[in-house]
Amino acid sequence: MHGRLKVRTTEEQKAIKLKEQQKKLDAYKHAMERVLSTRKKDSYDPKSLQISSGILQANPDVYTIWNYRKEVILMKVKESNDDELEGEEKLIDFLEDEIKLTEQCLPSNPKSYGTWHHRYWVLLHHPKPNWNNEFSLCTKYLSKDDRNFHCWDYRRLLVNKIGITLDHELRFSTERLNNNFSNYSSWHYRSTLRKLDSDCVNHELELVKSAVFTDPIDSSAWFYLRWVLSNPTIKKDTKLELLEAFEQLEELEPDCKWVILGKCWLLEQGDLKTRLETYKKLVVLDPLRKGMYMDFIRQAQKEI
Amino acid sequence: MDDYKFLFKVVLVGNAGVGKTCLVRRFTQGLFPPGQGATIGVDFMIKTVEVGNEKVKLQIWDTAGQERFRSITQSYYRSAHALILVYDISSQPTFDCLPDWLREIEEYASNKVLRILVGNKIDREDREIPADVGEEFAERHNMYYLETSAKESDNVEKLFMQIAEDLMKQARTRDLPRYDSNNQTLDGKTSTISDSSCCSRLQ
Amino acid sequence: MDYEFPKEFDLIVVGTGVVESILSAAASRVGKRVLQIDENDYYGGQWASFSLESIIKSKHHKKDYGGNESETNLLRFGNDLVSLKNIAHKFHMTSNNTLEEETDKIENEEQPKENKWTEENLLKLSRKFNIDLYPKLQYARGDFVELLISSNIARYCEYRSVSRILIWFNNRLESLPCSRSDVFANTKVSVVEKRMLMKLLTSLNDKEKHVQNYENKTFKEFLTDKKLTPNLIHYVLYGISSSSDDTSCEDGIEKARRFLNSLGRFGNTPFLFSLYGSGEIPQAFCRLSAVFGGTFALGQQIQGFSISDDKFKSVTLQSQTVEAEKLVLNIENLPARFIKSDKLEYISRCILITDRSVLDSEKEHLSLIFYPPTDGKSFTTVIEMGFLTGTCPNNLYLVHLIAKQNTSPQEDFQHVIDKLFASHVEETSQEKPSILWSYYFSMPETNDIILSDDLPNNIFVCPGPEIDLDYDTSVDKAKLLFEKMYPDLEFLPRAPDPEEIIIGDDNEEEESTDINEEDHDKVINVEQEDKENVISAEQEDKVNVISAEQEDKVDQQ
Repeated sequence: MHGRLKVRTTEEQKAIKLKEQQKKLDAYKHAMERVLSTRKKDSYDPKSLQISSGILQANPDVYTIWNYRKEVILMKVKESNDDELEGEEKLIDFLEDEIKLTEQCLPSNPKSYGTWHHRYWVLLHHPKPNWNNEFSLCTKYLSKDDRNFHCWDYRRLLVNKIGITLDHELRFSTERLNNNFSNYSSWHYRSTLRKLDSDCVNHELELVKSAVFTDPIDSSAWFYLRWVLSNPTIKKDTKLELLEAFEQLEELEPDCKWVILGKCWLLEQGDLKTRLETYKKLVVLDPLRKGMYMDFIRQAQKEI
Repeated sequence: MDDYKFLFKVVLVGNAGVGKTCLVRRFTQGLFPPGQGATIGVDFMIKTVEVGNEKVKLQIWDTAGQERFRSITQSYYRSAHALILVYDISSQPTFDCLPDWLREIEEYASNKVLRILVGNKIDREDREIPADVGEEFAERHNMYYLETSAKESDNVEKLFMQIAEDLMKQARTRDLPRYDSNNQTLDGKTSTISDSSCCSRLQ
Repeated sequence: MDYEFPKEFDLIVVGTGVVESILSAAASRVGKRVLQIDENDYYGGQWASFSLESIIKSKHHKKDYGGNESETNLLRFGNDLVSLKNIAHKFHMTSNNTLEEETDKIENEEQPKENKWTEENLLKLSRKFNIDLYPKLQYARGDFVELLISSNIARYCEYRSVSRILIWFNNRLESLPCSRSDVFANTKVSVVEKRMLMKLLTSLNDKEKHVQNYENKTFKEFLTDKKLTPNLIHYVLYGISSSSDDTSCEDGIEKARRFLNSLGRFGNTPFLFSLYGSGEIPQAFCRLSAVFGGTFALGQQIQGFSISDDKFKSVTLQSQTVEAEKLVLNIENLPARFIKSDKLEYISRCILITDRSVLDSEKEHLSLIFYPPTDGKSFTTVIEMGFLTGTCPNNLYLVHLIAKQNTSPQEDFQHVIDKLFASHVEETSQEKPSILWSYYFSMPETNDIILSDDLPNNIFVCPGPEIDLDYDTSVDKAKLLFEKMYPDLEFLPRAPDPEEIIIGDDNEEEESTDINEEDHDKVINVEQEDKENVISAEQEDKVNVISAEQEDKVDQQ
């Protein structure tokens, strides 16, 4: 009736959802059967190929179907090699569609191994791959979720394919960290960019210092700090300054084990007695890792 | 169903009683509701259609009766991609009001909105506005023209499909790589084309 | 076109400001027949947004349609007490004869070269401006946003996050570090200060903690005792809690909590802004009201209203008298005799069009700027918005200044304007933005106006915008009034999604075509059953929806 508003009850909604789900399940099963039954070594069924793209959009983690498509692609590559005139063009068209497919699959699960891998694999077989495009895609997905390690890995692969400057990547990394420094992937990526020398090591130290002071509980920054501290070009004075700063931090956060652990790293070659005391504090603060600290104590005691 | 690529906002305007809601209901639900009550509770209706190989969601807004006393909010027109101006071919006053509507559209809607003039109720015997008059008006004002009957389902599908196709064409020619389309509307994963170049008549 | 209204409604609402529109939506939603009218031909009243031309032309005071009151026995709507005062506007450059070339450029919507802005070419772009009489921000986790989400009104508007907050300190504008990433990236504080600030912010945000021993002390004293450095005190006192030196500790903490609580939901700052200006908000509520049956009529020549037996009876429009059980009106429309307060407090307002940002940056920002109290001048809030907010043309900025009035708007803001802006176009200061146009006025504070005792008890009066940055007080007021009007009815339950609506026919018999109370009750009952399950799912979606939206609008070039 024109204008009468009625709202479906939850029961009704549930029933409708169930029906829809069942439909989807049947369609999926049917599709899988169809595709797998037509899988051959040197020819493929175009209808099956089409159906398989539907399967992947619904569920991008079905490796089998990605592999099926890879088989078809290899057939296409062979075809194009045999066709001198238009082979390359046809192959490019076909591969572009393939790339589009992976694009369509990403939004539903941006962390699918299958999708990312397939995309990269396709590009490797592409006569004229557009790596810069890939770069933008990567940046986009990292902005959506900078803990998507698939994306970080992908980026690393790409950086090797195109000539991206170190500067550019450093800036990118700094931007990601400014956005959210609680992120192993971001810090790790940064550590893979270059070897630290005496020019830049202080800058890195300042950066990670800012992170550990802003939020001492966040472990990812501490790991990066440890890596930076392991660099031989750090001056002794710098280490002492940092130690002083940690003393101040400890005053503000007496219960934070990371601060104390940080002190340990700085004391490594220093005053033995202080080290032993510090390790003992850790045993109390972080009983979960008691074994590790006891180990340090034993090693230190050997030095006496 | 989250597998659509584009969402387009379509708004309908026109005098009360010309059949705006019926057009929408016919298209989205395949129904023609008898009775003449004003629409209550219907905010917008969504229908997903396929254009080429792409899924496109049309979000079709209803005036909620605010046209009765010429009080449609300006926000109704915001971010609209297409605007359907409807009159009743059997009612001269509804045609005479068109210039007033155009003034309002001119003031509130983006000048890049796709505009269609629709003469509805062609199932009726008592036609007052000949088709060529409507056509000529549309041409003068740079609008596409279509005559429909929500009751008999005449041209209704065509109206919305044509809109969907035309909007898709515009969206494509923006030449952006798909995953870089940053402009999105409330439903996410969509693309708006509010900045597209001026659209001319639909073919 | 219909010109006749039905003779009778459950509720008549006069005015289309935010509070009365919320009430209108709430009443329609629970099945009341609502008529909402406004003598203006636009929505919003004192909450409206204007194009450049229309704000210049608008007189902002009551129009006079009625005949002699004693003759007609009607009470006229409106009073002079609550209208805007001290209105002054000015273009700040000389109106040269623009070269043909420049005019052509405007017609093709290109921008003129720097320093070539003239009165003419600004006015040509009039429609691209959406100038708020009173701009409002929305706390991401405030009552207002929750209401938008829960009532499903959120989908009528689009939003943008305030992308940065600046504070005046040490004679310059500095970034206010309020979120963890801000603190991390800030280069002006030492690492130890960073820790102290984070510690304080975390503890302030902790609702469980109660602060003892500071009942009679100020927030400033509290912060000093915490051994914060002067830098940090400045940021927390004037920035995060928008307080002044004499704000009580309790209030200061409350305000800081509100701020911190809304961080990170939709962006790095606690605030959202409605795209295309704050004038969209009353329209959104009006639309909801209309969707549920409300009747709307703008541009009405309202003659007045009648009271009989101490009760409101009817409203007389140009040619018709319409009766209703209850009347809601904006305080602008209330006859003076019902207002007891004679002294009003005012809010000083200033609106500027400028040619660049107060603090240049790579991308365009929506900036909130705090200018702490100084030398007897009040705390001033500044909002700078650019093209991406849909409130002004490209390459221009709209700047709003708000402060509690001390003397006059011009005097109240002079010190801020001197510091932030170059005042003459000729002054080619590379850094400071030039002012192209200014608009000053005073807006009365109407939230606490005392009404007379002989106001009939079926008349409900809604305040105008008050000095707070956000809408939460207005929502509270609307809820209070609704409770008085309809004590047993639910306030804005979630509106159903289009997919959920079965428009009657599937298996139903056709009955009357009019919506009646019974049907609405049926609907309400069904809904209330489902409410719980449905709301939580929906709210998740809506939150995600807005935040995805936010990111994208931010990325939008």
